[in-house]
Amino acid sequence: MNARLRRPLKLALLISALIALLAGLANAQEQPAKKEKGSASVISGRISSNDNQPLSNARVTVSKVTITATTGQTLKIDSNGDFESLPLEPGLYFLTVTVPGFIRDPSAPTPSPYVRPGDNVDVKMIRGGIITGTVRNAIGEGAVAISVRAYRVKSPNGDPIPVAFASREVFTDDRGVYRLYGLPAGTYIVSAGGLSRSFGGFMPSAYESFVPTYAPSATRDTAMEIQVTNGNEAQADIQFREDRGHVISGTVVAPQGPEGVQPYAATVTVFDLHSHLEVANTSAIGGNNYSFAVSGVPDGDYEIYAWQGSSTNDQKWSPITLIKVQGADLTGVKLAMAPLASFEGRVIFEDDPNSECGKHRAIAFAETVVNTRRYEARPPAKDAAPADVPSTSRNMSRGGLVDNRGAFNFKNLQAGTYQIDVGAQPPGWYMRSIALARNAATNIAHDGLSLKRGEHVTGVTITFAEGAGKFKGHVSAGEGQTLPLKLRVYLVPAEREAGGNLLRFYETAAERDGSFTLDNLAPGSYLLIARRAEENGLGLIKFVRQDEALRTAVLKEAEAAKKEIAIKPCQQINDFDLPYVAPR
Amino acid sequence: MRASPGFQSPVFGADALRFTVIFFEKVGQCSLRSGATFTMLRRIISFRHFSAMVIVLCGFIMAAAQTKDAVQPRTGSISGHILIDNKAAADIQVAALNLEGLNRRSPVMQTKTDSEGYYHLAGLPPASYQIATFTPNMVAAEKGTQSPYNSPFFATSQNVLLAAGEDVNDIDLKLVRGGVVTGRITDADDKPIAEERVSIQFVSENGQPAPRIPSQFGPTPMTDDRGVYRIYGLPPGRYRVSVGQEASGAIGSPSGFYVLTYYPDATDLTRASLIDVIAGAEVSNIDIKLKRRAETRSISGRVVDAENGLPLSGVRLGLQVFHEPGRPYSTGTSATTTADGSFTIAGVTSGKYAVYIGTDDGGSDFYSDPVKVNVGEEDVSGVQINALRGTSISGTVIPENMELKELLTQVPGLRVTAHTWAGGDGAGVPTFYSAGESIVRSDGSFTIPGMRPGRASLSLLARDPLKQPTIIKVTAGGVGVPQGLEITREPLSGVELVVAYGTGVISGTVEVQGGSLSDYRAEVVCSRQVGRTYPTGSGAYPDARGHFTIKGVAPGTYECRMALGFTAPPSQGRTVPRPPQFPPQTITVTNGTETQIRFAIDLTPKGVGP
Repeated sequence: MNARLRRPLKLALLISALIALLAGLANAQEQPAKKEKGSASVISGRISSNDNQPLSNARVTVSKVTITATTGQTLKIDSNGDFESLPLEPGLYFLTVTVPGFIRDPSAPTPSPYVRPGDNVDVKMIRGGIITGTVRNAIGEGAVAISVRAYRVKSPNGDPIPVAFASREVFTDDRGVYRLYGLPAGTYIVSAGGLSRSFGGFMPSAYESFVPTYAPSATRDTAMEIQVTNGNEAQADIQFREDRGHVISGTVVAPQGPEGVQPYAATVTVFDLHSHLEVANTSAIGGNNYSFAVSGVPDGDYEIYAWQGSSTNDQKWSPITLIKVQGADLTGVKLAMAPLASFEGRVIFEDDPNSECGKHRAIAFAETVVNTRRYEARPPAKDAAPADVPSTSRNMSRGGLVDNRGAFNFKNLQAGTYQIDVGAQPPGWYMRSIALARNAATNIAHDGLSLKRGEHVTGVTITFAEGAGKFKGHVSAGEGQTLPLKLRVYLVPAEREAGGNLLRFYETAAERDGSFTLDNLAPGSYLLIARRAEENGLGLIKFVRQDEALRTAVLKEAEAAKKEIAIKPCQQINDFDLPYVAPR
Repeated sequence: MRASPGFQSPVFGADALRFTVIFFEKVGQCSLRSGATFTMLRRIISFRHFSAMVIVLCGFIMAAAQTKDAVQPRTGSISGHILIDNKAAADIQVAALNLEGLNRRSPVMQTKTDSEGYYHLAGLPPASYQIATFTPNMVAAEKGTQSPYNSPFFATSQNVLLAAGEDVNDIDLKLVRGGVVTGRITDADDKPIAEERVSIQFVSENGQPAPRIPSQFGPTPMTDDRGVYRIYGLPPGRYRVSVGQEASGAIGSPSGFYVLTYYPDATDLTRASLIDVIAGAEVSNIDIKLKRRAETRSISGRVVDAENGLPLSGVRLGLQVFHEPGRPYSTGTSATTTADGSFTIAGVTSGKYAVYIGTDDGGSDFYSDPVKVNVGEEDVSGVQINALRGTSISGTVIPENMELKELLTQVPGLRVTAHTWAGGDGAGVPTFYSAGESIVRSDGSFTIPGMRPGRASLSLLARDPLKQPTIIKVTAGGVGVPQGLEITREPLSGVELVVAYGTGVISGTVEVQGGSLSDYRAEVVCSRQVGRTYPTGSGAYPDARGHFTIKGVAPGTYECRMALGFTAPPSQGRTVPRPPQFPPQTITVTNGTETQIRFAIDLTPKGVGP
């Protein structure tokens, strides 16, 4: 039951973070093919497995792309796996598909992050990986109702995943057997025991005061790595160690709602700074004076913080507290809640009588997604002064549609510098400028918007101009060569004087076959280059508009490659061939 | 609700039972309005789960409503034996859970039994404890020793009120191994059905389902990716296993549903095969084959302001089923109107429904009369809901035994909460609720807006769960209203709430001779004798030794009585006689003092049948 309660919250956060990230990557994606039949106001499609079996037990939802999470519409699906929404307002929507045990087929073409009414979407799913095993106690009997979770620590190609979140938590049965399924392929570690995520704040369990034991009978540092491939079962038995952990306890201070109304609870998160795992997530309940206790914590360095939502989406977060647990319980931790930073602004569409190709004028706002991203090029140095931002929030992105007057409002932002970008825009328009009304001297398009804790900034204006070009092409490998994975195409201004205008830099991910599309391009001359994506130390793809070192490198390589193209207002270029040159 | 300090096992207490009732009737919150998070949670999770959770939470909140000593007292110990199938059980995890501490959910002390089945929990400060084994695959061998908070992680418990420096021995827990039922759920194409909820019902001798079986609030029995389920820790008995939803009058997923099917493939309850479970044994191959998913329908329409006919956006709709008397209650939707006031509630099966503006969690200024909708084979559209503005309840809080200023200083953040309900004629017409609250201002006044007309009950809620005043008298227009208030569309003002607040303690023992109370649940309930016109009282359950304590009692004269209730449904062909009645005792409580009371009960048979 609480599994149901806590997981959606957690998942919603994770999913919204992921979605926002995807949205950020999707500056120029081709839209799904239009359906011949069916209404232009519904989203329809089919869910099937990779061997073309219908998955009629899928749960399909569509929800409007908004800055704050909203509940979606669950769609009807028939026995052929066909689904169709009710009539929808124009705009951009997220399509979420869940099928127990299945994941999105990673070999299918990258889906567009957004769908529009009238789209017909073919979703391919594949059976995910499975980890199963038995947890045994000190006398060799099956440990009953012990919580088990898996952490994906490496991707299938072996790249480490720097901040690993736990899979969903399952409980062993009366024989000590557990089964985790629907896991994306990769390398996992599995742990048993410790504070339950789903029941932790509510019901005591037998193993919560013990440090989690990792398969086969190890601590986090010596945990066995388990290779998981899609559709296959991996075995991981655990001999539980009964290492008693410590307790971190304290209170969340004075969370106060409007008119003296007492908020229900605050969530307290404990993050392990050494292994980069979120080790606990528990509730401090108002009816319990907002006290909390996290048990089963091994010696180590942690960051701890509390946060709390509200009906008006004004979250409160405590600053992070860095704590060291060494051989003893830690009591009296006080976490004082305070509002976070926010900024708001609007988008403007400027007509140009000379280039009348701006489409969807009437519904332009409904097709405009604004993104913001807090980005750190590299993880903080080991000896760096403690940041006051949780590790899991140092790199985050969020995005959503502007409202029907073009306004947007990003709330609940940790202190830091936020890059502002556009995630989607109607055809024929391009982003010309991002400015802060009250401070013309600040180049927020280039430097980002700096926010202090609790600060509220207004007057961000994003201006779109008419006459954007569109550009489709294909990256071709040379004789005897193959295209690398994670290939990206970068478009940089050819005019030297435009090198400082970040809004003239574009990028997109190429499909496996090398095809790519770049849309909503400002007219001008460009240099083109295809190269492998670069990632920061946290496994996130670097964006050319946000990472200065990457920008300098791409500019230099593009100048050397000398592949130049001029885009005239409203021009559409198809079938452009871009040879891939492997780095020496 | 009464401010109810002193419950030792709150989930099973009278208030908790009342909560249970309230929740299943869908008030949606335990008088403890918890704001937006609560509302949000409620929308995220299914109502059934929500109710279960809230019961647990309310249990907490109430349990925490106790006073605490400031001095560091001497510690004591609790010890005993754990027996499984009457044999000493080694290596069993045993925990002492503090029922008074703020972090009560964490075991204060945890240990394992030795090879003789002996456990010893030492270093315990004086408090009210629950001693429990973490054995969810076991069941209690004796009645009256339920699992704490009905948690899936335990099997049985004993309460111990431990005094400073006291060593309590022989707190034994007797267990038997539970049974296991396992099987596989497949669809019409013989494909496994993953993540489908499996229900198991205890069937007593006369064919009626038992009110509760262990673990049902635990990790919900659900099939895995292979369609396999496994339900363990079952008390011996006869069971019925089912999957799916009622074919009519059910609110489910727009993506369709499986029609309620009993093992092995019966859609008719009377044709369900019963499964006999014996202690420690596994019954396997309880496979259920389901037919194709059935389609669900939708109900759509519009909400307009009854005053001016304008569409209302952002209004949340409620949906209830008009059901046959005795049919299980079902509800649940979170449809919200769009900018033009329109709404769609998808995922209903055929049946009779009532659509109305949801006011259950106090989130709306509007309410509506229910609009009856018959759903057949087609979607229903064009339902118009006329939104009415909620009424208000206002009045004053008057402390009985102290200055208002002093009360508000001692009990910061005091609020008055109200619940109203209408309908519920017992003949299948649903009950409609609303909830609201107001802070008590410095002059004692309060105003609760947005209420649905109907019968109302008021309660008090302080921010600190350890300090909860009690309402002892309610008057409206100068007239006492012991049976609750009637709220019409006209705002109700001038309500006076006389409240009592105190720091007295009632403690004592229950001594039983000539028999056993193990078939019953004993509770000591003390209620104000003089000046009480509003149902109020405080209660406590005697512990394993018959000790009890009730804290935070307001000064006054109380009538205390021993009440006995049934613990579990009669089974195995046994009938339990009606509980005996005992005469009350009258005591006087003053602030800061402890009043002792003793109940001596003689159950020696006197040659008279029950």
